[in-house]
Amino acid sequence: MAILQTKNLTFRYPEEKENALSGVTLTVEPGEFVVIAGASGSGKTTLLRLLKREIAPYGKKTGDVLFDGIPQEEMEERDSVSGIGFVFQNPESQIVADRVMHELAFGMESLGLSNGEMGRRIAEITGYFGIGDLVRREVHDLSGGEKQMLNLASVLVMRPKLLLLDEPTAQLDPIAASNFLSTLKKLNLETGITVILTEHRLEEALPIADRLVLMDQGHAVFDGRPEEAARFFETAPDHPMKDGLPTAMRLFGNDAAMEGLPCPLSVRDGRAFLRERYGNEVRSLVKDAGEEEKTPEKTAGKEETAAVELDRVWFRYEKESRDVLREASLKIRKGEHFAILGGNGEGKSTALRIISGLVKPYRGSARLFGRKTTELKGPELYGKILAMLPQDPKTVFLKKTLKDDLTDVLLKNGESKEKAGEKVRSVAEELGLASLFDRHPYDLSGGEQEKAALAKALLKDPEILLLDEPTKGLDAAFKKELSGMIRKLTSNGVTVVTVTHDVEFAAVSADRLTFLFDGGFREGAAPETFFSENVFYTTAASRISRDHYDRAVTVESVERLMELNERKRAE
Amino acid sequence: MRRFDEYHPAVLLAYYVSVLLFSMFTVHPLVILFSFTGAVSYLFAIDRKRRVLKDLWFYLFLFLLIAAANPLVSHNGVTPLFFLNGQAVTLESLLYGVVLAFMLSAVLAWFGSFNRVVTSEKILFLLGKVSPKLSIVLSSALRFLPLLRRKAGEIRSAGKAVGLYASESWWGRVRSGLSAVSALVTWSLEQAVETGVSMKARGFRLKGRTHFSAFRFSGKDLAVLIFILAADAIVFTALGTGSLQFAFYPRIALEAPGVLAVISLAALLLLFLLPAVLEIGENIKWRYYRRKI
Repeated sequence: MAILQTKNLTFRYPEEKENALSGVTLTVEPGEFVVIAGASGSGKTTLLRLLKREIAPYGKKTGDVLFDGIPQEEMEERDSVSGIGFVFQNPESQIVADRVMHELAFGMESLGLSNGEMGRRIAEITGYFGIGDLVRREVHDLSGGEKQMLNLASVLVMRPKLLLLDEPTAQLDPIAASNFLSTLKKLNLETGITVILTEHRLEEALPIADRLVLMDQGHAVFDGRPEEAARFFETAPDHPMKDGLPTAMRLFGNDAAMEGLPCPLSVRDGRAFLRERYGNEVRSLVKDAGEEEKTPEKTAGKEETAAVELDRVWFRYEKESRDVLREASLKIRKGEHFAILGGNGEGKSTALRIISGLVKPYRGSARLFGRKTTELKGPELYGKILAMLPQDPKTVFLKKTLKDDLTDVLLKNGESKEKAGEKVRSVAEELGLASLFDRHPYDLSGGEQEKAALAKALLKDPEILLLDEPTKGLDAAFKKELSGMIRKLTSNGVTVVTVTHDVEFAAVSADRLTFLFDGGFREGAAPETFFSENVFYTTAASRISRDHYDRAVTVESVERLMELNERKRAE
Repeated sequence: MRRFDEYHPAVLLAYYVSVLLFSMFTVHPLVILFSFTGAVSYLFAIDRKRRVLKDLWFYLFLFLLIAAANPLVSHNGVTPLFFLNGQAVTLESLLYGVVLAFMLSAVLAWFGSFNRVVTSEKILFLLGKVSPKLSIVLSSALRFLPLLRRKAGEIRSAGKAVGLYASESWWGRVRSGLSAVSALVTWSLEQAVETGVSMKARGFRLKGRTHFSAFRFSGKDLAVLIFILAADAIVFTALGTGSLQFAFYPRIALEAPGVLAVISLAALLLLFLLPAVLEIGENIKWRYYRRKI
């Protein structure tokens, strides 16, 4: 019998005109691993939350949800609480208690379990997850990845049969994220627990899923094995979700689908597919196709003006702590998009804080257009020269509506009301925010918040824009949009410095990038060079095309090479 | 034996209630002296000496202040030392001031070790026995505070780097400070709503909540608890019968103490020294065991 069924589930939020969900019918068998994908606003979170009665959103709901054959409304609260576990997106806000041990116990305390039983289950789950060393710690000392693991463990101790996870890896760095996903798969395989997961990170989630459900504007437009999704995209080749698919699937074009080849999901299968289906007479876009490599030419003339320069910078947060940066030097040219990559805790954000003058190195200097940040006064530095967007865009919102929030920046700066209004309108239109003017900034989606924060930074026309993890938790469609915005800015002479974990984004968007490791920057290079030299820390497109094509690190360049080779073959 | 702080929270609670009561409600110089010695030597045993000494300087300052202030305001007593503005400064009130100063320092030192020994975890455990729900509310408050502090810092620097506080004027700074606070409040509310949903998802509304604790009440806990209660019984009897009374005014009464007084003083000495003895004994044992590693 199906563990979960929805029958014609339709839902509308109060005071909304459109349905958030329309007629979703799903059947999930015990032990299945289901991934629900869709652009933000497609209704996947709404669907997931409707599956657990306790946290279902308010609104008008029709249709049925059955768990283990019993309609949701008729379930005992106790069974519903323990039978269906839910892990939320934000690792921070779902934690209730101050200590790990107490957090693990929270759900079991609700169920009224005895002390001995709780102790046993905690011992068991920490042993299984290998997080025994965390148990005595306070939760605020944990990293994001550890927090999310804790959240998963605190749900599992209640022994659920069905696990619902709402973009659980969106706020994690790539290593913590793949750790989390492989833990999920392990759980699914070893305990047979049913998993329903909404995800943006399909690159890693799809190869481990049994089933993919694609949501689009409240409809489940596709429901089947992940490999079969290629068929769906045949009928909708321009669907925005396509960019979010694993690279191997994106390369699997319509022609191949027609020929009835199996669709590859992983890098391994993608490599095999590429070699089998496409030749490599044309190996590189640069030599053979006569196409210009964008980077060296584009930035060659700009050598003389370093927009940002770090000169042998040493930095640590406290006298007794370790050095975060050690004789780190860096030169960023005017008008380029420069990305800083690096592992967790390597000091990427710190580097950005030093550039922005928020913290000062104890040795060495940071210069903006040749002037030391220490000599620049606040109003000039933050009012004219640079603006930095923090990781969490929510931290910059101060007012109740987006319009007030944006206008306020300029009013505070002493501009007239009319002028401010005009400027806000033009920036908002540029970024496509005008329709959201009356919304509370907190009610915007993640991508919209990022854009709103960006708008706020751009109001003062900064010459240097610093972005801290701008793609965190955002979907492929937004990343593409952001890339376009950055390109527009750099072509207008704005220097953009991005700190990111997102290699795919950096490969598409950056002009040059560098790796921060052990307190210092490696030499800056164009993405094509950087990623084609790397074997492990690189884009999926590069891993798939390695040894077959040269310097193809983005899906677009691999696709173009595939096309060129096809043409050649046809000749 | 275990280290003092490893005993069951209930034992620790009984202990601290007893020593604080006895330190605060008697002015018997010996009792106060014992209390002070016990509290300070335990502090030295559990903490770095420099930090304790730093605290002690503060106590000493307070100490001198009180010791000196009492004879200036209280002119009771029959043994004048000298006259100030026509008022007698008496030996009795000076000594009383000294005892008061010792008492206050002792109580402060007890609170000092209380903070380190009775951690939030133990308080939550004790509270959980009374009301599991109250305990979880306190726990989430404790969790929220460091989070709030961090977010406040983030909001400040985020606002600064995006150019929201670029105004240098006094009024501009006040306004930007206020808007940062209001942003923090909005963020907190949002956070609280999400935490609430997570609590609901894990059955916070169910009836019959229990409280988990990793503390177990063992034989050793019982032994120490019995000791504490026995000492309490003796001392309360002595207090009740007036055996532990000590008069400073009009003159200091130096009488030979009765049997009950001697017994209860001995019990108090043991009681006050208990944590330091357990700690030091355990340190010595640890040194011995370590040689075997």
